[in-house]
Amino acid sequence: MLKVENIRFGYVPSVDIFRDVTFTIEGGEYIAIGGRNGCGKTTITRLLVGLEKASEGRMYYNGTDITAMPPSKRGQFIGYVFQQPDRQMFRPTVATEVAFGPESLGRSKSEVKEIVDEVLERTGIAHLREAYPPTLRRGEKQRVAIASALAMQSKILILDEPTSGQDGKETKELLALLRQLNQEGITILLITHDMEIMASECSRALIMGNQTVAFDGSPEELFKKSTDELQDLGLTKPPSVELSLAVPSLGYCKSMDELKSKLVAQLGRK
Amino acid sequence: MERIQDLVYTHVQGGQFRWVTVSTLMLALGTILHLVSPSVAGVTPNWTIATYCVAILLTRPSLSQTLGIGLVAALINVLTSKSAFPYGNLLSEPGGALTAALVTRAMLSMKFRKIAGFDLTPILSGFLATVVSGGIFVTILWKVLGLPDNVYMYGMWPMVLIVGALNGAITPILYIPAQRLFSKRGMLPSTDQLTSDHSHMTILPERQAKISIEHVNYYHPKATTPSLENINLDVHDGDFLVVTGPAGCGKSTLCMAMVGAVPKFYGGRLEGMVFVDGKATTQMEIPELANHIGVVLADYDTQLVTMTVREEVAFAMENRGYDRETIKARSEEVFAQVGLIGLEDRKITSLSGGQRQRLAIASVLATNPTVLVLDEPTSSLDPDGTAELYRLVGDLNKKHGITVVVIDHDLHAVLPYANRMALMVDGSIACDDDVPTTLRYMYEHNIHVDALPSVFTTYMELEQAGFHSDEPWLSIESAIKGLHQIEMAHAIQTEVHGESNSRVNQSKTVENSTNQSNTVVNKQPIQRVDDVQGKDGGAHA
Repeated sequence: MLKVENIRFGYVPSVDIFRDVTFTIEGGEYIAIGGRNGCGKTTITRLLVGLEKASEGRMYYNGTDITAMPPSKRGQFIGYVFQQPDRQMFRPTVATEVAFGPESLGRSKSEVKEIVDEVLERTGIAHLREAYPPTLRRGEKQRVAIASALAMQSKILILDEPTSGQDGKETKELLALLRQLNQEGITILLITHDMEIMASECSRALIMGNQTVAFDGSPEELFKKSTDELQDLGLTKPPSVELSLAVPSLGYCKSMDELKSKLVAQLGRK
Repeated sequence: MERIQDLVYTHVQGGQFRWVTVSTLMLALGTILHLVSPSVAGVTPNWTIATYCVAILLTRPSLSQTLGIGLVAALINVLTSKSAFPYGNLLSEPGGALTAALVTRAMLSMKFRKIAGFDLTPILSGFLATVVSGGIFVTILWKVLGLPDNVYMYGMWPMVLIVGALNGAITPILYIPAQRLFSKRGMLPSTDQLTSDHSHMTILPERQAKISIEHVNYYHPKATTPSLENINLDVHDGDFLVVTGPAGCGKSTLCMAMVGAVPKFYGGRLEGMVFVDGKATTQMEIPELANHIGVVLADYDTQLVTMTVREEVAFAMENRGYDRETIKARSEEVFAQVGLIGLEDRKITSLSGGQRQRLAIASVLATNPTVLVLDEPTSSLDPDGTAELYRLVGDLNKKHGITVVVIDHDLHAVLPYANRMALMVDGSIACDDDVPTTLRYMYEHNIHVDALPSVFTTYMELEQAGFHSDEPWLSIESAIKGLHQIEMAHAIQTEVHGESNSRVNQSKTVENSTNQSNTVVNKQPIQRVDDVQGKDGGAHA
């Protein structure tokens, strides 16, 4: 659906952040983007939405070349939730903020209202429609940003470190929302440092490192690598994987819940 | 001496310099009005005097502060006056300002202050301040310029009285809206709030500890429900205490109480007392307390004030009058402690978030506090940075004997270093014990469970399902150990089942094992109740 070919990029002309970046994202995927600090995780997603221009390479969306398409146009199929979502909000209420996208597409008033109602409902913030965005909690702001993306009928949603600095409850609620949106067919790209989330939530891991894509495959394949190899990429094994290695008969466990149920099942067997 | 639970300390939040803000705004307004005010037959109200009268009425400054306001007004007038001898203002305006202040004070105790609910003070202070100020001014003019007595008596004084009357009329017109505007923004002192003074009291702690928080209730300004309720908590020398709890439970407020910012910075009402090194925090100023306790705020960037790394660490020491050699030696020590060696000449803006945070810690450590308080230190760090930070803080605690208090909701990274953990719920301490006990309390009472490390949750769930480990799972290592124990126990159990089927069947069912207490010596696999009973002991030999 979204195809990236041989992208090369550097903020300073002589220093590449990465080169030869090639990957294809299919509809409905749930992709974790990881890697150590400064490896270009955020940069690659900024390129996808057009906030940065690649010095080489091309990008295609459903076969159309979008390399030169401005970010405002790309907003119709890619939504972005910044690490600090306040930086993408500028209207007085949540409802008008979410309405901005469809309004700018020239939808009629009644259509806009319908869309806003629907996406606020889907993201669970219908009760906040008259609230002033800067006064919301970060988790709520993220939902406003997600709702704005859904209002544009974005097919792809990119979130930059949405769970860092949040308490466990907010993280769980956000992950539940993302899971639900993913089931509804939205492709999700999650930039994350959290190995537990990467292993338990995502269907694919795209790890940036060594100035290119260092790994592209399932989280299971990734976390079966040796600890040293992972260390080189700035990753660690999530606890569930680490523990499942201690009891080899359990096999790979993507989450502590899975580990627990497998263990109980195994021990229950006489 | 009073009991500690009966101690009350109230503090008016901020407001130390509000008289400056209010009088500056008023004088600016006065200057504009002075420039645009129409003059009818040479008569125009004196807006400058009217506006500083209002400022004095609103903020009730001390006499020396009043003198300051008067001098600023004088300077403005000297610069904008069209008079032949504007320097007279330098005496007349302070005189007017002092008059206004004295009238304001005198009127507070007068019976006829209000007529039909209308406050006469603005009229009176406006009139009298203008007459005094104008009188001084024309007298100086008369003397300096050698004007005829007739002009002084019959030309100038009537004019002074007319302008005085006009000002008596405009001062209340300015006062009423200004009063509403500033009080709405909470910028005016309210008479019902006072800052207590504990400096003459003898307050002794009930308990000996590095920090002892005794019978503390704390109300934020204007709050009717306490933010901290009946807190009793001791931090001992060498402790590594983690305070956790759901958002809004008061954990940051508690941390601010330890460093004296509650109530001395935030204002409000403190009942009970917080002692640091045996001294009551209400008897110490915040800078003095900072010599005992170093704080690193969640938003540590606000603590960094200089250009380079070296300057930042020197800054705190310079403020306390350390000499050059000491600063140099101590800087090197703290750079080594926090791992910033080699970065001393870097610009602070070029550091990463984690490095800036370590710099904030370094500059706090420079003055040798014995306690380090960190408020949500990891909220803006990635997992690597978090691990690194706690490694550093753990080191400071173990190797350098610094007592550490960490407020955090992200628990798994801090647990290996902590020896105590306090759980706060709704402003009270729900549990204060060693780490596994508090974690277990959270799990069993379903409080803030989302913050529990997933490894620990799994440990508890397995235990509920009947599978015990010797040690609680606080880290991957202890979890792996626990898993092996469970496996081994299971292996033994299967063996037992094979050997002595009949006897096992007689014993209680598997489900009863959940609540068993575990008395087996360390490092031995834990077995379920039925195993031990079934084997007549000796199974684990």
